[in-house]
Amino acid sequence: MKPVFHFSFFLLLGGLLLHFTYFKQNTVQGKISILNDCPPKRVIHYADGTDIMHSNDPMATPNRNVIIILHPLSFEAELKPTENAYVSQQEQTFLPHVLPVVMGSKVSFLNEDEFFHNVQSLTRGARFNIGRRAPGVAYSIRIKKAGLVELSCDIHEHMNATILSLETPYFTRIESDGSYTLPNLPNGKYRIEVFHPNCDNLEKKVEIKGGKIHEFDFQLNFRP
Amino acid sequence: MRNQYLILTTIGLLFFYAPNCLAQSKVAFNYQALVDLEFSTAGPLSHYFYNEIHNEYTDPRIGISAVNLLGELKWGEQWKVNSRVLLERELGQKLQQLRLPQLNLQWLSKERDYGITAGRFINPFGAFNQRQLSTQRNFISLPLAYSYYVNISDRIGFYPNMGDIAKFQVDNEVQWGSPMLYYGGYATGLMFSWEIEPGKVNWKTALVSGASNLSTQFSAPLHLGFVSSLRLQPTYYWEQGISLSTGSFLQDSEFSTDLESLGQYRQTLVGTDFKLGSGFFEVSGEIILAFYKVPSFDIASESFLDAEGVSLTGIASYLDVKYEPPFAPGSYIAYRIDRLGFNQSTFYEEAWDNPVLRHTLALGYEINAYLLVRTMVSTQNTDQKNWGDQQRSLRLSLTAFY
Repeated sequence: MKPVFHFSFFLLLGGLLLHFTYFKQNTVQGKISILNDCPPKRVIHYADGTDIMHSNDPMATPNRNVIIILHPLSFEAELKPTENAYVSQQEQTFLPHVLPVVMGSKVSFLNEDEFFHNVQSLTRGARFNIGRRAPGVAYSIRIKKAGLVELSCDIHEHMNATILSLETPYFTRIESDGSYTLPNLPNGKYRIEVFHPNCDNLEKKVEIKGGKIHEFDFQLNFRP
Repeated sequence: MRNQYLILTTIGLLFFYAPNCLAQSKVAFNYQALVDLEFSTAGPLSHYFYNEIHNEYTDPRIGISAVNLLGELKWGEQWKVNSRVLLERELGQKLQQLRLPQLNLQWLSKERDYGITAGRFINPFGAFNQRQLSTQRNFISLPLAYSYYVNISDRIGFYPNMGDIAKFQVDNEVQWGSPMLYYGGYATGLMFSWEIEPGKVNWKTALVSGASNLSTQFSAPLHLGFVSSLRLQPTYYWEQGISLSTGSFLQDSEFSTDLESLGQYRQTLVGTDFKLGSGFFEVSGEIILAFYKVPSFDIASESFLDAEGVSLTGIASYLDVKYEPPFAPGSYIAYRIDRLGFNQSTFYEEAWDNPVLRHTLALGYEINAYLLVRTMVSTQNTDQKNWGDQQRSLRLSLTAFY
């Protein structure tokens, strides 16, 4: 009986130690403020001056497309493909304007307008063209390259969007009030990146541990 | 003088409304720039008025063919000024012609369903005028209706074999005729546009300064023209357009004193265009019927034969087929068949111009989001002239745009 008791005791102790040292989960949260609007670096408008159809959905606006990314520096995170990653095309607008996914994820494109759209990428290492797609029919592409994948529609040249293909599972989009929360982060050293499609991106190296809530606020500004 | 009033009114409107709007609303300026570098070579009987290659530049040649700067000044959601500055080769020769083909003030309703444009804007007739930039065109050359000069001069009306065989000068300029639609595709005046059903039914109608074949921005005398275009999308894979344009175009010249009223000579165009798409294929085309009432001129006696005006009709059509290979994203291959035909006039025994048939094959590749390379070969036959393939052309264009 004694050896079994000792074994169970040490197993429990080891588990607890492991829990407190390695598996105790942290949360990173904070607020992103944007001091000045960062206008798009490239705007395409119709040469004839007629109005371009566009969606007023908040997910089309740059300030709702700020992504907080934590890149682990002291360990390698397991990369599982992002589920339900899709980009829709509504009122000649890609929604959302920026889609963050784990590298290797399948991204579905869905035409929700009543006319043809196309989705193509001319990004090196991730070139594709899905052709003209009828309304309501989804089509998927696996994103194998890390980094930015620029999307366009060759029928409506003003349409553009970005897939942010990441080598980390730790990322989130800011809420409408600018706040963000990233839970379940293991202890370790990270590089925090704040991605905005038009502002200059911010980076900061941090160490998080102790199963605490860590607060990091950022201020984005327009840098020409 | 009346032209100057038109310019002053446009500028006046701009400056009257602009300060108020600027004070109240957020202002944004967007621009686009495009530069075209082109290599070309063509058959010995090429001419700018026939296949866009000037006959002094048929040998292999490389150089910048056009520089474009487009600007959009927007304040609030309702007001815009649109401009385009274009530096291009003058009649396909040297890069020295600086033009301002577009400058207009535009107001849009709050719901963006209708708008009014004043100034110089893209002529709403047909499908092709809307594709002004290299990046919007599969082929480097324009369809025949927009570029091939027919035997109707905007100075003296009709006479046969104008330009290439019968060279006649008016005000020290050899007359080559005019295209059915002036290749620049712009018109000056006032346009009303109505998005009747967003993305599905759109109607534009404009009161402009003359017919669609008029090449000058402000005609002398000032003419009136009317253009209307209805664009429909019956289903997701089909777009259809119906267009009408009518107006007078004959300009003052050393001979126009022999004519009673220049405004009585007219050009009327009726056209329809379509676009069908599926997967990696796209088929599009256009048919334009042109009706002219023009004086006929006799170059031997240097006088008008029929100042009352004769009725001439022509027909232009083209069909484009485009395929984007899915295994080579950003690339395409396209073919165009293009035809011009002319009726037999009541007073002239033959057709009033020679029918033309052109075949064009194009390849394009978007290197990245800022660079496009296109190449095309074309050959055209003009009936009764036995030119064989001497108006063939090969063009390669690299477009850089931002």
